Amino acid sequence: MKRTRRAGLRLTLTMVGVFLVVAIFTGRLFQLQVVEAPALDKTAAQHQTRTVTTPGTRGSIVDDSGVVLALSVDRYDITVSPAQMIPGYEKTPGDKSSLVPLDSNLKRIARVTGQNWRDLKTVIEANPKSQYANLDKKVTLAILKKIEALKIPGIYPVKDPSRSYPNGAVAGNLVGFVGTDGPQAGLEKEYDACLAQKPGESTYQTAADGYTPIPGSTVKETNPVNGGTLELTIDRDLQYEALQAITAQAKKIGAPWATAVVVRVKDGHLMAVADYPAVDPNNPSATPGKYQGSLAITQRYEPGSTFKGMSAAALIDAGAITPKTEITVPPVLTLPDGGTIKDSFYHGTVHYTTAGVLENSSNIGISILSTKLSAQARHAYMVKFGIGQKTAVNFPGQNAGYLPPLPWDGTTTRTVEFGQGVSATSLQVAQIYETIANHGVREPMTLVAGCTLANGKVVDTPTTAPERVVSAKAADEVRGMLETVVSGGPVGPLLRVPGYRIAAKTGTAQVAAGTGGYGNQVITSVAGMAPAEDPQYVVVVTFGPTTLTTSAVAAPAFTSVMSEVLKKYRVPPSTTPAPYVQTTW
Amino acid sequence: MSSNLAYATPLRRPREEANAPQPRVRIVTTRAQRRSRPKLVYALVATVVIFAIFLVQLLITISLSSGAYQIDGLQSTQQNLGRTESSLSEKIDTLDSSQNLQANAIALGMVASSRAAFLRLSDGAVLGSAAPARAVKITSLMTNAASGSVSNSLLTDIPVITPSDTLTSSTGTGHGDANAPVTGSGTTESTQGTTAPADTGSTSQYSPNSSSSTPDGDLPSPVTH
Repeated sequence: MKRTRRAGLRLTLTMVGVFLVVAIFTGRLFQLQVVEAPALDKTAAQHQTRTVTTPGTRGSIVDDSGVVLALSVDRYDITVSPAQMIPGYEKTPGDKSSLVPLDSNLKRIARVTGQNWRDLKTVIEANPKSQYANLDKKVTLAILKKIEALKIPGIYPVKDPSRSYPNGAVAGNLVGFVGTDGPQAGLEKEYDACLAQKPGESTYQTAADGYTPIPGSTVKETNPVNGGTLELTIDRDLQYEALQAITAQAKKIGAPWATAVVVRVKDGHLMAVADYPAVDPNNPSATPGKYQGSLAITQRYEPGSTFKGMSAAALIDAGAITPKTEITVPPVLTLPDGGTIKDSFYHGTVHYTTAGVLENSSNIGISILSTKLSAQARHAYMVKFGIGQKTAVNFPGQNAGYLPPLPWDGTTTRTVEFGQGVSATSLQVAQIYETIANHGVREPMTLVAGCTLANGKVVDTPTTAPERVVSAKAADEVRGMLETVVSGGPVGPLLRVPGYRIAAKTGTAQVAAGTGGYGNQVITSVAGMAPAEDPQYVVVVTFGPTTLTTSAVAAPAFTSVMSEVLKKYRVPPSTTPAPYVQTTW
Repeated sequence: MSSNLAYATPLRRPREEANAPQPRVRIVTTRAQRRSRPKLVYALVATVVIFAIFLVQLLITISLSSGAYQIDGLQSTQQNLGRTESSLSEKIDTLDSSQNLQANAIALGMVASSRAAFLRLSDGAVLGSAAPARAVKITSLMTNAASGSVSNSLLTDIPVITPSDTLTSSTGTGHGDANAPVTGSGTTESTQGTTAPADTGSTSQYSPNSSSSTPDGDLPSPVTH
C-alpha cells in the first residue's frame, strides 16, 4: 500500500510540474501575443518594413500630330548627409594616408554643378550633425551621373520630377506652366484633372540591408496612376509660323501686343492661337504677368469694322437687305440723338450697294442699312453669333466680350454694327468668320481634342453641338461681298495671297481713352478666309493699340499666316476668278 | 535426525519484478496485431523525409532570397536605363523644336518660300505661284534659337550648326556664300504671271507652254505611268 501511495505522489508532482511549465509558457505566450503584441509589432515594423511611394508621371500636352509641347522630365536633388561627409573619407578603408578631406570633395562637386564650393561648405556646416542637407536642386541626369562618378560617400540624390516645354514659347501662352505650387496658367491649369498623376504606395518587409524586399512580403500595394495625355488641335509648326509673323510685325509697328487665330472651318478646330508677347514656359518670369495667358482668348477689345461682316449677314438673313441693296451714303451721318458717324476716309455723297459698303468699309453705309432691322432682332443675331458669351473653349480667364444690353441708345444701335461700343475677343471674331465661312453654321471653337487617360479612356472631348446662325444663302452672299474687299477694296492688294481667292475684312477700331471718349490709338485687325470659293481656313490677326490708323498694318501678318496655312494643308490654288459683285450704282 | 513434522518455512520475500518468473499465461497477440506494430524502417523513412523537406525548404528560401537581391539589382539597372532613355528623349524633343530646326536651317543657308505652287500630275499644269524663294540677309537673331523672335530657353546651351561644321572635307566653295543661297535672286521675280485670279479675271491654271512663271518659259510635262 505504501508503494502505491508513493507512486501516486510522484505522478502528482509530475503533473504539477508539467502544469506549471505549461502555465508559465501560456502566460508568457499571452503576454507576448496579447499584452505586448501591438508594441512589439510596431517596433518590428519600424525595423523591417519600408513604405515606398511611387510618384507617377504628370501627363504630356501634345499638338494635333503628337508633337510634345509639355512633358514631365526627371530632375534630381543632390541631398547629402553632413554627418557623414564632414570627416571626409578614406579611399582605401583603414588607410589614413588616403583620407580625402571635405574641402576637396566639395570642390569636386562644385566643379560639376557649377557652384561655389564655399557656398556648399556653408550649407553643410550649418548643421554638422544632421543627416540631411541640400546642395543643389533639379540637376539633370548628365550632372547627376558625373556626381555619382565621383563616388563620394554621403550623397543621396532624390528624384524630383520637373516640367519641360521642348518648344519653348511656341504655344507657351496656351500650354501655360507649372510652378512649385502646381499648375499656374493656361491649359496646365485648366486641364489639371486630366494631366495630374496619382502616386502609388507599397509597403513591404525588407532584408537586413534595409531596402531589398523580402519576397512575398508586400503588405499593401497601390499602383501609381500616370496623368493623361492632353491632345490639342493646335499644329506646332503653324503655331510657330503664326507667332513669328505677328512678332515680326508687332515689333515693326510698335504694337504692345498681337494675336493670330487660325480656325479650320469644317469643325471649328483651332490650328493656331498665337500671342505676342509670347511666354517661354521654361522661363515664364521673363514675360510680364499680364501677357502670360492667351490674349486671343482673354483680351476683349472693340473689334471695329470686322464686325460689319456679321452685321451684313444678320440683315441679309432677316431679309432686310440683299447684296444689291442700293443706298446713298452722305459724307457725314447725323443721328436723331445728335451724334454723328463718319467714315475713316473722306468722301462726298456716294452710291454704294451693300457690297460696296463692305468693300469700302463704310460706317455710314452699314448704319443706314441697319435701320432696316429692329434693334431687338439685330441684338438676337449678335447673341447667336456668340457675342457676349464665352466660346466652347475652356481656358483660364476666358473673356466673354461685352454686348451692350437692350435698349440701345440712338448712337449705340448704329455703332455696334461696325464694332464700336461692343467688344469681343480675337477668338470670338474668328468664331464669327468661321460661321460665315461654314455656310452659316457655327461649329464650336475647339482647342482640346481630348484627354487620353492612362487606362486608355478618352475624356474631355468637345461636346457642344454645331448651331445654325444664319442661312447658307446669307452666309455665302456675305462671303462673296467680303471677297470684293480683297479683289477691289482700297487695301485689297495688301491682302492678296498669290494663287488664291481670299475673302477678308479689315478693322481699325479706336481705343476708348478711359475719359469717356476715344483716343488717337487704334487696334487693327484683319479677319479672312481662303480659298474664297470653298473656305477651309479662317485667319484673324489683331494688333494692339498703335497710332497707325491704317488697317494695312495688320495685312502683312495676315497674308503671311494665310499663305503658311494654305501651304501647310496643301490647299489647291483657286482655279476660277472671283465673281463680279456690283458695289456701286 | 529427521522430523516428519511439518513446519512452516518463512515466506519468501517477493522478488523484484525483474526476477519474477514469467507468467505462465500470456496474452498472445494476433498476427494482425503484430503486423500493425511500428517498424524501425518506417520511423527512419519518416525522419529522413522530414529532414529532406526541411532541407528543400531551406534551399528554396535561400534561392528565393538570393533571387530577391537579383531582382532588386535588375530593377535598379532597369531604372537606370529608364532614366537614360527619358533623358535622351527629352533631348530629342528639345532638338526637334521649331526654333532649333529653323535656326539651323537658316545657318545652313536654307530659305523658306512664302509662295505655294502645285504641279498637277494629270496634265502637268502648274497651279498657284511657282516663284522661288528670295534670298534673305541672315541676322544673328535668326540663327539664335534660344532667344530669337520666339524664345526657347532650353536651347541656350545647344549650338547651331554652321556650314563649316558640315563641309570640312569638301571644297566648300559652292557653299561659301551661304548668305545668298538662291542663285540669281535678282531674276526670280516671276510672280507677275501667277497673280491671283482675282486680279486678272483669268484662270490660274497655267499650262506649261503659255506660262511665264518659269524662267525658261517652258516646263516639260511630267511623264506619269
